[in-house]
Amino acid sequence: MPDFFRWENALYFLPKILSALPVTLKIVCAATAAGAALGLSTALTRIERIPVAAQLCRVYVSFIRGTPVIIQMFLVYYALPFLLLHFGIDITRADKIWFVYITYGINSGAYFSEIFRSAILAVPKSQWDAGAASGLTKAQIYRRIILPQSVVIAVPSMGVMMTGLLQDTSLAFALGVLDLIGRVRALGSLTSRVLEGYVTAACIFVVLSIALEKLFGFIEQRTTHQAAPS
Amino acid sequence: MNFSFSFFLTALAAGAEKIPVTLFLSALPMLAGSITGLAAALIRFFRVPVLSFLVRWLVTIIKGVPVVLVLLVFYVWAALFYEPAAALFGIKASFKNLDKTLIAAAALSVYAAAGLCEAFRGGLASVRRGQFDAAYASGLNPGQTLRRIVLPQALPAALPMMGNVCIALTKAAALASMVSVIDVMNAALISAGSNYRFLEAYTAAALIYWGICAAIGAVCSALEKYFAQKKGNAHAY
Repeated sequence: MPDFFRWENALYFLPKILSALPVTLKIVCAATAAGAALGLSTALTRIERIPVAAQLCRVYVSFIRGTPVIIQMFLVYYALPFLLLHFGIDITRADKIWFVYITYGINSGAYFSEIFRSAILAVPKSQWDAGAASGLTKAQIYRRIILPQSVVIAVPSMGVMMTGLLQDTSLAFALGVLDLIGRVRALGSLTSRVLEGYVTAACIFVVLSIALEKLFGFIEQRTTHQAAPS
Repeated sequence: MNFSFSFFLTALAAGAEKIPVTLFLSALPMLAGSITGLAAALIRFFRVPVLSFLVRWLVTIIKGVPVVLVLLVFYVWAALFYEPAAALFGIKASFKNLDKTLIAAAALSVYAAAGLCEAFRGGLASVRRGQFDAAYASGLNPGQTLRRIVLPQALPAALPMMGNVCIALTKAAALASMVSVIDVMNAALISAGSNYRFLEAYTAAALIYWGICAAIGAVCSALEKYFAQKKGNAHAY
């Protein structure tokens, strides 16, 4: 039997693969920040039924949810320079990591918008009436009454979504970015041993997913505890 | 550089030709995953000792690993073990001739089983405790209770999540192109191989996936409506 799996190789790979962890985490953080902003504006546009924009947002969410993220990534990679060139901006030489940030920002924006939309709609109608009766403007009602409550409602689904996002970012290597899996494949072509690398990367992802789940469980516990006495 | 609409149509036709491959890659894992996922969900629901603990950890681990890694690991495993394993049974087989679609289907099945286990578990949890008591009081044994009372209520409740798993699988099937399966995405890309019009090829592939996912979503909501109506009728009696 040839040796299929060597633990010493996995241990030898571990620090080298871990050194790529910041790249993956950066993608997740950038996507979350951009996605939350994009998602909130998309959700508000759809809830307020702003003509044309609301329909466009609907198509955007449907497209992102209906196509594989790997295709979205290559679409951004090929289409964005093509579109921007019409405006005289040349980004064909930009670092590939930026295309990854943009892709996952757009991608998570659609999922965030669905979460925010259902969370905002889940806030009881009477809260709106009470806000209006107190003489608050619409923007004030959103900012002071509706959004703080909907964030608490959205926490559990955000946890699930973030875990999914973390796993989706593993496709960045397809564009040639040296994230966790990109590093594994680079090591693999260097040492011609790839299985140990994949298994090590899988372990890192499992640990990160569990950590993320625990973090959101903690946030959920804290926020519901805070809301309880009212 | 410009967008060639005529090449876009060529890529669209090339991709559409391989829709059956993509559908196979989501249907077979859906079937295999439903069987194993239901068994796993029942093990957890009835808190079978040891096995329940095992299932819980397996699902956590599988849900924590990106599907592309599952796919790549399965591919490497197949490359390493397929020939020796076949030789063990005295079959002369070569990895080169192995249909890579099967490797992708196997990897996606594992992924589907974990997702469907959670879906069925949610469905089972939604069945009220009183239903079990009533069934036992009527003299049904546990097997009958499950088949006649619990599952007919749990499965429709699990339907929305099953739909989500099915759509996720269809999208994950696009990753099969990484292990040289010629599916919708790969077929569209191959057609662009000679002229490097990848923008058109990816646009065509995206539209096909969008159509497939919209169709799956429509079928799921029709099924949901059907079961909701049926449930409404049942309550009327």
